[in-house]
Amino acid sequence: MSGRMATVIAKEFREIRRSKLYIALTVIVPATLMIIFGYGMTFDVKNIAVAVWDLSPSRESREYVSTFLNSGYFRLGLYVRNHGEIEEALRRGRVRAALILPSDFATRLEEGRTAEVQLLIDGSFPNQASTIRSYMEAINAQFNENLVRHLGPETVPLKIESRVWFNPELKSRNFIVPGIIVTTLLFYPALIATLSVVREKEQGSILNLLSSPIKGWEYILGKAIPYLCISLLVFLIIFLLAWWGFRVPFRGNFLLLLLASLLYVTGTVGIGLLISVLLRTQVGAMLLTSIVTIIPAFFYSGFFFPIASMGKISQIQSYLFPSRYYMRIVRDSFLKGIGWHILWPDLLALAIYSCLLLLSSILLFRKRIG
Amino acid sequence: MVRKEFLQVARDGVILMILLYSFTVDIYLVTKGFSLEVRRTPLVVYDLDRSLASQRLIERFRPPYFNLVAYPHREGEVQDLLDRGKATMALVIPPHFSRELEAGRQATVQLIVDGTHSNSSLIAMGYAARIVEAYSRHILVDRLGLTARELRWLPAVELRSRIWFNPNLKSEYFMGVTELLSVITMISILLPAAAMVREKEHGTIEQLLVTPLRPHEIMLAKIIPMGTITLSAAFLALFAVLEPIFSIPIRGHLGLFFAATLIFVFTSSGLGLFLASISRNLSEVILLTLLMIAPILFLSGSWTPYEAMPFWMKRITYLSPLKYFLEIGFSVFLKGLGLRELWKEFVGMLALGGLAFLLGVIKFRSSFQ
Repeated sequence: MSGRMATVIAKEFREIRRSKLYIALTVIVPATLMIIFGYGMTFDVKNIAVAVWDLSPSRESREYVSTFLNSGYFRLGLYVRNHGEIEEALRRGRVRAALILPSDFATRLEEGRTAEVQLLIDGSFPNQASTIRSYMEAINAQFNENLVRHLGPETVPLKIESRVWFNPELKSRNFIVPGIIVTTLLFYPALIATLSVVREKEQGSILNLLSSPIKGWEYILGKAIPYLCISLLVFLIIFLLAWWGFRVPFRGNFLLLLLASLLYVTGTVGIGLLISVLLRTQVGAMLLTSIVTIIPAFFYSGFFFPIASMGKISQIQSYLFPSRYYMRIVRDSFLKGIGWHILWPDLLALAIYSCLLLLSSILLFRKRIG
Repeated sequence: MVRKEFLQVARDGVILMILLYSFTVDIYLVTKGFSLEVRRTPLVVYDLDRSLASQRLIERFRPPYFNLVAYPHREGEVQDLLDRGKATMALVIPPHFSRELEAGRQATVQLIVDGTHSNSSLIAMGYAARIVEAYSRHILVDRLGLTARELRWLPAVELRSRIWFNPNLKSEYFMGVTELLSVITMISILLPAAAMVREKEHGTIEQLLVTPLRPHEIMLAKIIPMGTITLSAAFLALFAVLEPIFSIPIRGHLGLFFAATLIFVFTSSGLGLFLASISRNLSEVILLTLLMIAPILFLSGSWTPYEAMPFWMKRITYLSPLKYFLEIGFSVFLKGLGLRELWKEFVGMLALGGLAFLLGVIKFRSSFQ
C-alpha cells in the first residue's frame, strides 16, 4: 500500500469520524433493520379472516367449516346471511376470503354425491391470494379423504408423501433472515460510499488532486477501503443477530461466507463509488443510488421469489446485481451447509463482479479528472 | 421562494433524469418482469419402477408448474442435485409402483422438497399434491370401471374458487401499483430532505432565517414544489406506463387517488424535513432515511401479510403512511371504493402528516434559536 493511498484512507476515516451521530448510525441502522425485518416480515399464512355463509346449517357443514378454522391458518371473520354482506366485507378488506356452503350441502354428501362450495378470495395481493387458495384446497382435499376413508384404501389408489429437507418446518423466518443479510449488504454499503467522491467534487477539494502525484487507483481504493471496513463490521453484526438472535441454524463454512461477504461488499461499495464518480451533485448521487439499490435489493436477489420463476427481462436484469450469487451462498451456507466444492463458481462470479466495478470506477475517474 | 426551489430542481438535469427514469422505465421494468406466481419449479425424477404407469404420472409434472431438469439414476445423485440447487424438488417413484397399482392396492410416491425457500416450496408442494390427486382419481375410474360421471357416487366437496378484483391474479396490477407508490415514497422523503440539508451545509439557511419568513413558511416552500413535481410524475407514470401498457383498471375515482397522493407527499415530505432538521449533513440524512424508508416500504402490508405479523408489529404499521396510501391505491384502482369507505385511511394519513409537519417545525425552530 502506498503512502498516498494511506493518506486518502486516513482522510476518509476522519470525514466519517467527524459526526458522532453518523458513527452511531452506521451500526444502529443495519442492526435495527435486521430486527424489524426479522420480526415483521413473514410469508406465513396465519389468522386469515374468512367470512362464512352457510345456507342451511347442519352437522356436516359445521364440520366442514371447522376443518378450516381449526387448521390455524384461518379464523372466522364473520357469519353472513346474504351475498351483499360478503361483498361488503371483501371490499372493505374485513375478510380476505369467503366460503359459501349451498343449501343442499348435507343432503348431497349423504347421498354420496358431490357438493359444491364456493370460495371467494380477495385478489388485491396476488401472492397472498394464491397462498390462501392453495391452503384452502389442501384442507378441502383432506376433508374429502376423510369422507371416504371408511371405504378402505382402494378408494385412494395413489398417495403422496412429502419430506422437506434443509428447513423441515418450512419456517419462513429461516429464509427471510439470511435474505436480509444479502439485501442489507447491497443497499447499505452502496449508500454510505456514494457521497465519498462527489462530496469532494462539490466542495472543490478534488482540484487539489490534479496538482498531487496520486494515481487514480490509489484514490479510488483509498476511498473504498474505509467503507469496506464498515461494511464488514456490519456483516459481522447482522450475521450474529441472525445466528444468535433469530436462531437460524448455520451449517456451512464461516470462512467461506466471510470471504464471499468481503467480495460482495467490495462490489456493492463499488456501485456507490461508480455513481459517485459519474455524478456531479451529492443529492443526485444519493437519489440514484437509492433508486437502483433499495428496491432492486429485494427484487433481483431472489428474496421474495425464486429467480427461476421470474420473467425473462428480470432474469437478465438480475445479472446486473451481484446479489443473486451472494444470495445462494448465504442461504446455502445457513440451511444446507454446503462448502467450497459446490459454491466456488458463485465465489468466482462475485470476485469478477467486484473487480469489474472497481476497475470501471478507476477508469472513469481517470477520464474525468485527467 | 417556492419559485426558487422549482428552479433549483429544474436546473439540475441529472435529478430530472433520475425522476424521469424512476417514474417510467423503472416502473415499466418491474411491472413487466415480475411474476408473483411460482412457476417452472425445477424438478428431478428418480424413477425406480420405469413402467408405463410411472411414465404417465411423470408426464403430468410439466410446465408451467414444473420444469423437469434431470433423471438421476442413484440416490446420491438426487442428494447432489438438491444440494447444488439444480432442482428444488425430487419425485421418487418406488420400485413396485405399477405392481401395487395393478393389484388394486395403494401405492405411495415420495416428494423430497428443498425447504430453503419456504414460501414457494409450500406452493409447489400444493401443485404436486393436486397432480397426484388427479392421477389417483383417474386410476380409480379405471379400477372401478366407472365413467367419470358415475364416480360421483363418492361423497366429496368440490371447492370452486373465484378471485375477486383481480380474477386472473395478474401480478402486473399488483406490481405496478406497489412500485409506483414505493417510488413516490422514496422520492418524496428524499428530495425535500436533501434540499433542506443542502441549505444547511452551504450555510444559506441562516440567510433564510433572517428573512421575515416563518419556519413553517420555509418548510411549506420546500414541500410545495416537491409535491407538485412528485404529483406530476405520478400522473406521467399512470398515463404513460401503467394505463396504456399494462391496462391497469381504474374502477374508482382518480381524483380520490390524487388527493391521497397529495396528502401522502405532504406527510412524507414532512418526515423528510424532520430528518433533515436533526441531521447536519447528507450522509446522516441517508442513514436516517434508510432507517425509515426500508420498513415503510416492506412492512406496509403489500409484501408480508399483515395478519401474520406479531401483535406489536401490527401496531407499529399504523405509523406507516404508506400502509394507508396502499390501501387507498388498491381500493381505488381495483375495488372502485369511494370516500365513504376510505375516510378512515384519509384521516390516518392526515393525522400522520400533521404530526410530521409539526415535529419538523418545532425541531427546525429550536435548532436555530
